[in-house]
Amino acid sequence: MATTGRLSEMSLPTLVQLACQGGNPCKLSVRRDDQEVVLYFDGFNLVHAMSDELTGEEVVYRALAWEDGEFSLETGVTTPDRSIETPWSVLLMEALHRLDETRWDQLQTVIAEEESDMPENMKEILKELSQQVPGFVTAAVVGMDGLGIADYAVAKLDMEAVDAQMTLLLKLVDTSVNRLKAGAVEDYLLTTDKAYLLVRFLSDRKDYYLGIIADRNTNLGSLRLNSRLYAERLAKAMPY
Amino acid sequence: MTKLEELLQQVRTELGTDFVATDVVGMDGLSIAGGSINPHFSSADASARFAMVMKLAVNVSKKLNLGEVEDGLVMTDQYYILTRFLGDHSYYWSVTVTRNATLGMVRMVMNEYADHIWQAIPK
Repeated sequence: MATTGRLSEMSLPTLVQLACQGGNPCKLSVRRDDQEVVLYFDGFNLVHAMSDELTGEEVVYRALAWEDGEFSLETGVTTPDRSIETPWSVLLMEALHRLDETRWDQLQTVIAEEESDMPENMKEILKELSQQVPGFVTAAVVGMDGLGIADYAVAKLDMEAVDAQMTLLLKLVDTSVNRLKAGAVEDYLLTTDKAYLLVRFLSDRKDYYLGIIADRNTNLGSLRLNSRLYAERLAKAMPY
Repeated sequence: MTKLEELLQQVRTELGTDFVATDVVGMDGLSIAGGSINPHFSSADASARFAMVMKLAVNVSKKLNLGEVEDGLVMTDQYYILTRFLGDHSYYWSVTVTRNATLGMVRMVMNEYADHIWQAIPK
């Protein structure tokens, strides 16, 4: 069953945001006068866009300039093709540059809300993780540039240092394994006499990872299992 | 066959068909015993690269006040690569097994043999 309405009631950036956050396959059709664009979503992203003349990102940029029109959102419709690889948040940012100042504020608000919600959601997930792991000390979602985007700790720690050091280690492990042609790194566990440090990529893109530090009272099997389960959840919470 | 090589051979036997490689490696990255049975997995290259990883792990652990490093475990989609310090940390021991191996079993075998291997290193 389709949800229908007008862009004057719900803007296209908001619709894109909602469709991406749902994560399920869906189709968004937007019609203005005699023009129509169709956007397809899958796996938390906008994956295909088509109009009568074009396909791909340009269709999205044009549609985002529309201030009015009718839309129809159908869930469970899979995309017939894939013409977009850029994350939807980046598409909206690019659209910002192409729109006049009137639309600027509206789009900026949507993106700001998304950016501010995202680490908050992740922090909640990390907090939940802390309750599943005995001996939990800290967990963080960190980019391969060494900058963390969310963390949760039960002790006072210099999280910038933790993020940077974990990244250095994971980068060296990943490079070493690549050079050895020993497959794709899934996780790395460091054991010391006081703690376990476990790092795991959130996805095959290898641009972000989950790092967990727990004391030696933890259950190692449970730590690894939870790292895998929560990495999958955190990957879904990422805006791509 | 030296005592050290004998011990590594026993480890290989215990790990059975999942065994890929094992090496006793100085912190200069040079292996003093061991090898790979898989021509696609270079034991010498792995020894050198994981010496760097172990050194960095020590630095990271110091900076984060995590204590003394005991071992590291890399899981890839093909292998488990386990590395652990021996004795006074002047050597480390690596064991690589396929993903079919039982990880707990490999760790247990390493725990069992680590001290014997350290004792067998000529000093």
